[in-house]
Amino acid sequence: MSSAGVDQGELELVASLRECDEAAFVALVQKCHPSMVRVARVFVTSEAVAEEVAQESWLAVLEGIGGFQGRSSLRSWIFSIVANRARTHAQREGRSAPFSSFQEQEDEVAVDPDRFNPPGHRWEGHWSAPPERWADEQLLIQETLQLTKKAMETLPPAQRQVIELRDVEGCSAEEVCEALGVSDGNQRVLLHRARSRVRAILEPHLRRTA
Amino acid sequence: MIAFKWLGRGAIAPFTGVHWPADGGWVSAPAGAPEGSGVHACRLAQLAWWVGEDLWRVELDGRIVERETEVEAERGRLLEPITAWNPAAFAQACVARTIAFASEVPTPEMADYVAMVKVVDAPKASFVSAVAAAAVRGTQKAFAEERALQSQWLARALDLREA
Amino acid sequence: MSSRVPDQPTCREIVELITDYLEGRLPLEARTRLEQHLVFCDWCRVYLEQIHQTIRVAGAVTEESLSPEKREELVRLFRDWKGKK
Repeated sequence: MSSAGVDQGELELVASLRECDEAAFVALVQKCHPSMVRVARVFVTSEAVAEEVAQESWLAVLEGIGGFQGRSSLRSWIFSIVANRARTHAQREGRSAPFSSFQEQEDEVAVDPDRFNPPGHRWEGHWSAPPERWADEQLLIQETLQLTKKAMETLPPAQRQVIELRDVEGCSAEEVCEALGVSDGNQRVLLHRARSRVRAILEPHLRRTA
Repeated sequence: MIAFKWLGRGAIAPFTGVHWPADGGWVSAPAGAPEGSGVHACRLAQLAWWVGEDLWRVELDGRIVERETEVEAERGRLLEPITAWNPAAFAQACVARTIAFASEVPTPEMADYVAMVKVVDAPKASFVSAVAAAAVRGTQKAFAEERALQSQWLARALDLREA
Repeated sequence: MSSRVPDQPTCREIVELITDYLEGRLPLEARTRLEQHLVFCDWCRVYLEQIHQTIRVAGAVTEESLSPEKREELVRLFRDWKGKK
């Protein structure tokens, strides 16, 4: 899913699109549209606006495909168009959802510090309340999927954008940096916090019952 | 070079999940892969840092980098499993070593390590014994030295040679 | 034991390194220390497994495909655009 380079099929698709080939357009729509709405949705407040952004983005894709250089994958190029438009919409909506790690807390930790032995303890910093193994059978049931969706909605915007693109959409780190205009280091910090938070939210629900 | 490698059951590498061919086929790092992504293995003196489920004698080839607690090679292959490997016996040896440290410095802290080392599995026993060594000697170096001494014990007990 | 063995990471430090580790961005020395910790620490191994499971479940939340209506709408958009061109 996360191909950074341009593959042969993609080159052909781009060539057909440049010739305004409807079948090529439909193929791309099938592949990308739901993801584009999701990407837009992390910036704007409603599903309807996200849909609108995705449609606008298709026009921008059609207008811009002639200039597509193939330096990034087609998908990440499309996602960066969506992200830019969605950002503009969000600002217009008066909802500034700027991508900034400055809104992030400096000292956010992956796991509640109380779950480790305190300073002065012989095993300082080692688990005092260790995690319990999760049952694999519980992982992909509807309830867990719903909970995960909700958990991601509670994340600060920047974290949510990164985890949606990386783990939900399966984008590569490079694609996310390009789409969100963020440095590689920031991308990783945000991904780390997002995954840690979602894990913590899932934890009480997935603990294997003895 | 002959070296040794700890693997999970079924010859699966514990961190990368690589399935090592039991028929002795070569496993190689991808061409142009950065340092660190080669085949990792242990010299005899490094065995205790990496205690796992199964121990294999391996052959390493190509460019080989030796580091403090591991060797890394361009490629490697399994030669034979070390069937004499007995985690309980190794854990027992670590218990004995920890008891010896505690008798040098009989403090409540050392008594705690002894109580702990008796009830844990082989990898943890190795760790606790190294912590006890560092506590007794009061130096960080003693931790690594204890791992080396445990490795020596393993090489002797399992009659391992690098030739 | 961090006081006794300062160059050994604690579990609390390990959980903060997990993402860099999974992204292959940990310097070799730190990666070695982390893996040596995982060798004996079942708890951190469980934690790492839970992060893998979190990634897996996040990847499974979206299965929606395009509705035929939506598809038609986009095809119309395409034809309009092509017509104006």
